[in-house]
Amino acid sequence: MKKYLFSALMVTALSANAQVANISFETQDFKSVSVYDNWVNSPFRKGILHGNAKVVDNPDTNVDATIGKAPNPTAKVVAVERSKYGSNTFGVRIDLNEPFRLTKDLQYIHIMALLKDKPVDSKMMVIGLGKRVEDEWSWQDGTDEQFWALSTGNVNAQSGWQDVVCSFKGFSYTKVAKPNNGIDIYSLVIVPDVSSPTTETENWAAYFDEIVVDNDPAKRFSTDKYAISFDKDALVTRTDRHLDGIGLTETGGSLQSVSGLNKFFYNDVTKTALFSATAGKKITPKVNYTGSHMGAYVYTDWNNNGVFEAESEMIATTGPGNTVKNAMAAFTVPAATQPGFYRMRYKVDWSSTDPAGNSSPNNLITNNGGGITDVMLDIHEANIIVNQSQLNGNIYLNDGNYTVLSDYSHPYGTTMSVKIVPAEGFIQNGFTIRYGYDVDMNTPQTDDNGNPNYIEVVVPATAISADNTYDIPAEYMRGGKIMLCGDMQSVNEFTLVIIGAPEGQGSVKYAGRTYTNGQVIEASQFFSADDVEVNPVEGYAVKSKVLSDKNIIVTYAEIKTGDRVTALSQLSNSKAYYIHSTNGEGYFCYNPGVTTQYVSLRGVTKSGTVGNSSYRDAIDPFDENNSWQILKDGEKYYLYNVGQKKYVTRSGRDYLFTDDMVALDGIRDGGNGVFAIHAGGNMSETSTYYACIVMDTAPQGVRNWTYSDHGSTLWFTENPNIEVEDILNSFLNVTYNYYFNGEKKGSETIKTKQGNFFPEPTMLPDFTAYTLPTENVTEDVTKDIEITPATPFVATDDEESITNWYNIAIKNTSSYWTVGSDGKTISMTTKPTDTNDNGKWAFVGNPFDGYYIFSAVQKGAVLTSAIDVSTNTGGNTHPFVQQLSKKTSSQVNHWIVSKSSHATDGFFMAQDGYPSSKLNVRDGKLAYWTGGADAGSTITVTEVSVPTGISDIDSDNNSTNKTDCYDLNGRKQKLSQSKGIFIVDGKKCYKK
Amino acid sequence: MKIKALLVSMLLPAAVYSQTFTLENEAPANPDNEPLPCHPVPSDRQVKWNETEFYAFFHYGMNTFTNMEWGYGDENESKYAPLGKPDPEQWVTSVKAAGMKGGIAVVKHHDGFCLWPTATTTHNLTKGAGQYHNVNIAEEFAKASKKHGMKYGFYVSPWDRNSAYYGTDDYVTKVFIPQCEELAAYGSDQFEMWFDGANGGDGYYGGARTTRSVDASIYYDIPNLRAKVHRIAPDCVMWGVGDEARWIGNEQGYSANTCWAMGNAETGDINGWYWHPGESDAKATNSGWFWHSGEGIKSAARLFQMYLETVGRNATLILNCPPDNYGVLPTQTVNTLNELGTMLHERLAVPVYELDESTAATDYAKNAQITVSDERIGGKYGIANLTDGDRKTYWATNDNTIEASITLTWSAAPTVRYLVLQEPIELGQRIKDFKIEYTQNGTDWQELAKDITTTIGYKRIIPLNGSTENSYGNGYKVRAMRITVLDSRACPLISNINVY
Repeated sequence: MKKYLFSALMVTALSANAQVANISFETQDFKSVSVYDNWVNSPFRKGILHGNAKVVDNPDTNVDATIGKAPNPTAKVVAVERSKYGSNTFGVRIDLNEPFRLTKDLQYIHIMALLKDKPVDSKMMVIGLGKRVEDEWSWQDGTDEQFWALSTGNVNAQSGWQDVVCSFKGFSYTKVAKPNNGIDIYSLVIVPDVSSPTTETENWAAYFDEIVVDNDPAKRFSTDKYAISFDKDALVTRTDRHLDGIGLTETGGSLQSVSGLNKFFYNDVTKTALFSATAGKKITPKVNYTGSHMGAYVYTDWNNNGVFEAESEMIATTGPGNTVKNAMAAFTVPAATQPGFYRMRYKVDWSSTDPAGNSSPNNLITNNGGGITDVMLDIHEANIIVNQSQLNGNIYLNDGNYTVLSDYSHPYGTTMSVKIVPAEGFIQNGFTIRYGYDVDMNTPQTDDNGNPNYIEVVVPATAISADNTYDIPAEYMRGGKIMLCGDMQSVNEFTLVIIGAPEGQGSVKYAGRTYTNGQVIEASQFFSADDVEVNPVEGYAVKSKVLSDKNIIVTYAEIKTGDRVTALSQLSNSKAYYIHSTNGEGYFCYNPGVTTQYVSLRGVTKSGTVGNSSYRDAIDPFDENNSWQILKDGEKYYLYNVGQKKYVTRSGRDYLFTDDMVALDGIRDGGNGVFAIHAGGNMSETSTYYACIVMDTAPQGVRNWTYSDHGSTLWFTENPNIEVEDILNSFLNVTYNYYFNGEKKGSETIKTKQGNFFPEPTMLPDFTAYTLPTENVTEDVTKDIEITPATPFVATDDEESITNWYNIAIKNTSSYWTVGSDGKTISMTTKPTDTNDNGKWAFVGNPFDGYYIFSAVQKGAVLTSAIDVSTNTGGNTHPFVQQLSKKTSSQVNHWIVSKSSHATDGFFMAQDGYPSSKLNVRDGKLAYWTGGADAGSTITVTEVSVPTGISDIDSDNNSTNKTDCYDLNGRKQKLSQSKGIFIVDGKKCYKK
Repeated sequence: MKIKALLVSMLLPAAVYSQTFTLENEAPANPDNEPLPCHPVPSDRQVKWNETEFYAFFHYGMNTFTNMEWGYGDENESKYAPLGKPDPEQWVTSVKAAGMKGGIAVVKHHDGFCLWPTATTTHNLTKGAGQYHNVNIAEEFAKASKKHGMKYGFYVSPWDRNSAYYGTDDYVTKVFIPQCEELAAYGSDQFEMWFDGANGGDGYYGGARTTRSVDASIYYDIPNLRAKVHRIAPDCVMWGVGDEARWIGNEQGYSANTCWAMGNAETGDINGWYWHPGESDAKATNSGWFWHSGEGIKSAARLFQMYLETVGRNATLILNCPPDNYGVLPTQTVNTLNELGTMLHERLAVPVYELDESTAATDYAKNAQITVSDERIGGKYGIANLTDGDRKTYWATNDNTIEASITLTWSAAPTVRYLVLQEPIELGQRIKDFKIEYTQNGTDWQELAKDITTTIGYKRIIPLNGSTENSYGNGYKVRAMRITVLDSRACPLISNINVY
């Protein structure tokens, strides 16, 4: 009897397996049906949609061709409308007449499913709703989700009924049976598709029937061809037992085998492996198995119906359990067996003849160490018939006589040598070998059972010998018929054209031959310029090789050398230059192999460590990434990389590529053709630091360093191999007039390309804000730009307008400027209290003009210093507080602020006119550091929280009519009595 | 036949049975053209949990005094003898200074010693020694958290090496579930209950000193445990074995760049059927999970990197800060947490207690001019939603538009380092692939952070130089930035953009 003959009496067939639920929908063997959605915000839970589920007539009682019966002939089924507005856990809820108890051992739900309108292959799921049975859980109403059982694999959309099995288990008491303890399941929810319905365009119907819950994992039937009882993609889990290989020996022949089968439980090698045998002969299968305790079984589908019959089609076995190491008996292939491909199945299992594998709960093939492999068996005759079907030529037998391959008979499984003869104007292009039993060009590769009608092998052109012969291996000379098919390639002739090389020089190599100018290369229609290798010519570089019509054009270019620039006046905007070290430390370049962000190096020849090995790459004179334009526009210079079409700017110590047209701060002419480049940002002060090659650093091969360093001394040498044009001529001019508080503070003209954004200003001081036009630049244009301050402190125009006071700290010491008791010297202290005037400062001025820094110690007192300490590094010059009106000509009391990157809203403060004299700390006092702008010079401010209206009472006021005052409790006081805050004329004042 | 049909119809009520099945094609009203969710979607509690983002782990207990990581379960209760009064309030305030929004206190580890006066076992702190053993850690921790506006929850180990009941039928009903109930009673506003995945092994087990193993998938009756805890604390996400949030798959503070809130491990699984977001548990110290004398602490820079690689990759970060044998966080931990909070505040504008808003990183998205290539019809899904600070509002495309771009333009080019994107996860996680480009002149665009811009989810923080180790760098001066969605499970939705 066929394994999967289906019985309509489903209940009878499974009654031995402890069913705990059985719903057929023929009668009221369920309490109710409805829809369910696990998603809390589902419109079906909120009552917005009511859902559609009911019992209906079975829409499909058709006979299935594979199993020979109707899979589900019953009258009634349940249907649910799978809605795109539900979640991926939407399904039909079936309330049971009687609950069943969860067990710690696996239980199985069997569901007949009809899903012909399901849009995607996906898993199904069953959700069990229930509750704990103990008294202390009586608050549960039986609708808490207790398990979520997914189908073992995808359930595909198909036209007929299929049997789906889901397994589940749950908490239960084990050692002592406790009827009043555990979990009962009251409802089952069948989810037809756990993939999201979001992109589905339509609702669709799902049908379910014959729902059985028991402890049998086996499917009740399968309409799959060559069915197996487990997930086809399941991986082998045991290391002590697994199938490793299979083999077959025909009496008198050698072992044919397949190995490497121990990764998956199921291996389908029907498209890649072929055993051979002859009708009437004996064949002996064998298995290669790790482990013991098992038995091996071999089946062959002699009637090609897509099913292995357990009894009639088992051709060999080692026996039941514990026999796997035994040899199998030989099987005689029936003499009447027609030549053809037949599917074989090798199975290792425990005492089960089921070709799909043991599905008993306690002995699943996937647990007991079994495995299944399917392979094709070729029952053949003594000879095979060979034909050929070539376009633009023929394939003959290579016998010297050009025997035509038309129904040519050749011994099976033996090598055959062929000769390819292209037609005039063509060359061989390899060919395809198709071997099997139906090799017609219109035959699909597999039949309805998924078995191959033929096997195809492609012989590439490169495998054909130079004399156009090929020996077809014996393993391809199988089946009953062979077709050799393909198409020749048309021959193309290409004439080599050498340009730019000296007379008689220049050549290429192709397919082992050398060709010179004017010679014809015979190649196939797939020939390309990349197929030729250009031979070098001394003093010349290969600029290009191009296939154009019937010519392969190779262009050489003489490597020209250019002159070194000896004065800045020699620079031309229309020339390209190398910028390189005077002592072999490399060439400025764009080197994407190291960095795309920073200026990098190539051509390093000096010995020593390099930060990246590609720094030593030779300079290609035709590589535009190695060449620069040094553009002069009035007094400004721009550094422009020819290859990347980008400018260079500096950030910190690093030189970066930028699309912005940012001018260099300058180029220093050191004389004797030696130069140094300084790049900055907007309005940076002059510096002793220049672009310096650091060949041992990557990715930044160029960083700011002192002028005196050898890496800062550069040559500019013209590179005549690169042609450039003066790009400044192609730019548009954008002119900005800058206004601050209605007063014009300056203007500048910036070049930019048509269509770009309005470019960033380059000459504004730090801590300024502006808004640029949002449209793109289309012509030369002038714009007035209103500038507003963006300082971390609020500054006023004069002392009388001061509203904000600050404590000022130096970042790295977290020390605060505090005026001493002498009212003059400034030392560093911990953060002053908000009432301590000695630690309070205010700013008067603006970013363009600079600031006075007023001290709250005394009206009119400002931060003052001896002038010009630029020669003192470290030093002993200390700013102090002094009346604004008492400044001398050797003093400065006006300050410029600039941004520091060492703190959020941090800044440097330098003497107005002496930008290198930046405030710092020495010996616990405010001092200077001219060695650099670092964290020690970084200033931050904290606004002081001050009661409104408190102003100072100085001694002058005290001596006037201000004798009446009140304390903060309203009691009258004499002003001369003590220090503190008093109310004078209705306002709070501070008496020192 | 007719008789048979009559019989059938008598057996099945008319309301249940009909001859043929007809699709009704019900559809809810959708006047605002709201996009359909892309399932799976999170529960309300999972959304709130995700919004916690960054919180602390406090491993404290018997092991603090025995210098162990996994106690055997036979430790005498008197070994629990704090040298000072344990101060959960100090724990809470210290981690708050790091920008964390909550914490999980370990109140029962595998050794089974309980840090609250439980009725389920005498193996608890009431039997400890010294002056300070009676401080109810669970209670004090809950109180301190509520006082300081911090979320809180408890770690209670399912595996109990001390309990004689472990491995038997009675453990769950007599010990484990009652313990969870007692802890849930310390506050109905708990946000997470942590269930370690370590289950079964050798242990004291009430004197048996043997090995016991369990089938963790069913032993703890998680479905009903969840039902019971959620009755008391409805927003309490049951982590790990509780299956409402997953372990990210390592303890290094690392989630993959591609991270789905479904499935398991570092990447999750785009095909996962239920919402299962990742949490990364990692140590701030360089020793064990519990405090050990002489241990060091990772640098704030390293912790910041871990933040980028977890919170910045659609996972949450639970950072372990173990209290010492005085019951307080060591000074070095407190100092480093302060430093970390400052970094988060100054680089990513993470609100940190006591740090002024004025020192927070500037969000340049707020002053950018924003344009989009597509906007969903309905009037509610426009550009303003991207920067309104409300995660529940979002920009969306029309249903058939998968590829779309958002362009931010500035009149004054800011220097930027980080891009933050968020999807409104209430509607599922959708975006599979995107790219970021910038221009300085408006015509030449360059791509940033290539190869790491895949999924987004609840939150994605992209260091624009592509490095989490050295993310701050020099930054990029950008006049315009363009974010292009290349692939998505359904029409893409973005609820928030920040550019720092």
